[in-house]
Amino acid sequence: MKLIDLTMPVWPGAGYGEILPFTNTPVEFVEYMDYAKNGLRQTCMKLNGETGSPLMVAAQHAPFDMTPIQKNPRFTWTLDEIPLQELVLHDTAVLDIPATEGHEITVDEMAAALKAADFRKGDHVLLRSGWGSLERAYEMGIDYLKKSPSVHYDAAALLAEKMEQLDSKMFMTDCALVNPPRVQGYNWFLGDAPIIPLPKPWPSAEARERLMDMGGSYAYAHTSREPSSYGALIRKSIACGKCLINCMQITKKRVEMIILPLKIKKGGASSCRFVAVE
Amino acid sequence: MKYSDLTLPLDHDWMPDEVLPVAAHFYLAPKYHPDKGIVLGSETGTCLTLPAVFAAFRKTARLHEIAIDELFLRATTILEIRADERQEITESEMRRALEGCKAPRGNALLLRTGWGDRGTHNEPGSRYIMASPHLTLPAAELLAAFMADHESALLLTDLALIGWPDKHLLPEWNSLFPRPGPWPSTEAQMFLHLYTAEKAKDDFAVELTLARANIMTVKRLIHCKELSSDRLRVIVSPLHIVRGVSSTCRVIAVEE
Repeated sequence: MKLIDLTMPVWPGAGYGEILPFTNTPVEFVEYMDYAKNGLRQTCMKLNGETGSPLMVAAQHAPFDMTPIQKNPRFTWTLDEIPLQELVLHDTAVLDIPATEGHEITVDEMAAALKAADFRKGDHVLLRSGWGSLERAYEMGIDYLKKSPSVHYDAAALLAEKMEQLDSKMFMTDCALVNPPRVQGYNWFLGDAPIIPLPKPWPSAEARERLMDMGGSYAYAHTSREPSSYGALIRKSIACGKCLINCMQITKKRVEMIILPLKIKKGGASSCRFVAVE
Repeated sequence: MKYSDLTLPLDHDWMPDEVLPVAAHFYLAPKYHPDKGIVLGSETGTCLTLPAVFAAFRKTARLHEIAIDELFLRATTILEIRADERQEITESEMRRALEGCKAPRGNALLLRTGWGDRGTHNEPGSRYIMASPHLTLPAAELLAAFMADHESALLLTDLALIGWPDKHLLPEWNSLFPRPGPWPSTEAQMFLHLYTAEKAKDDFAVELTLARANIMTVKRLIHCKELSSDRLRVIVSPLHIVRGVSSTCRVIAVEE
């Protein structure tokens, strides 16, 4: 039995906490007991639902807002309600679509990958682009997300349809963003009017102004007119995971996955541990 | 396969472990609140603590350096010592339990007292922490020696507190009435400002004994009652914190 840790670590100032206006907040640590004074360390951590490698259900803003980010989702479980059989040692098909910086995975590439994969009924899906690496994340900072490969809407729609056909319930990827950065970061860090220099996420003045521009709600967090690839997938999934690393260490077409988010009562999203078992 | 979740839920309404000033308040701020996100302590709820939590062992392994197979699907043996409310687990009770414990070399140990099955973690008030059974120092020394002998460096338990910090922490904190909130209350900040490394050494003597033997500990498990020792594996899944020394974690039992 070989265990492969696919989890993006958590550290203060990590790029994934700095990139988007609402779904991210910066990772911050406060050492309220420290070695020198107290002889031991205790840390208070400020994280958010998309810290590290996150797992997110359709009602991502639960428990305070139970509205799913896509209408009529196939599943309505919160994090603590997901059955352990879906989280522990669950059969998972690896979907290989090598993708380089900035590439948007096309519908043709998705169709070819689905044909080549050993995708069976009930499997979870791990879309492996080869992007997710810790060295790259450390080196690139927020560019790791801005320049990540991603999934074009048409490709996501095809995969979502196939997942429903095969009763597949969980989607994971080593892309740092599922939506193309030009969609997710439209008029924030890319698009017709990107904000330069890039502002801090919520609760920065710029994020609050953007909320005003959006009419006071970020239920649908990007302002691009293009449809959401992530939306197509989360609508058909119990939950989606992204920003995984080390997926190239997987040598088989199928693995068993251990997927363990924090057990937040009625939680919608959290940093999660992803481990592949070969 | 049978899976059991041994994890205290992270409850934004109320957490049973927020009694002492060394604990941090867990909260989720709503999405339009300036504090939006997840705020938690490194030992919130069910948690993994490495020896490096103590200054004396700060050069030992950190969370991101722990090999994945030390925490995931780890073969585990149950060490049974039934304990009542507030009971001190003594050296003789530990010796008796260890004599009956058939732990294969390298297995993790799960010390099951029954405290995590009594439902006190669901009750309001401080009883879950303040009435927890706990180990005496001689019992901890015996356990540490046994684990070193069995090359077992992972101890899990359903105790809310492993040792009993009654030299300084409990008497001084409990003298404040009504009891203040955990960190970051003003009182907790003031208390920790005056809480020296020497006091911590006295209060956490049991935990230091385990740390000296290079033992990682997981405390505040629940629902251990049904577990059987045969073919038991545990998954201890902390946050993957760079240079972290402790973390809230999810713990799952896997029984074949």
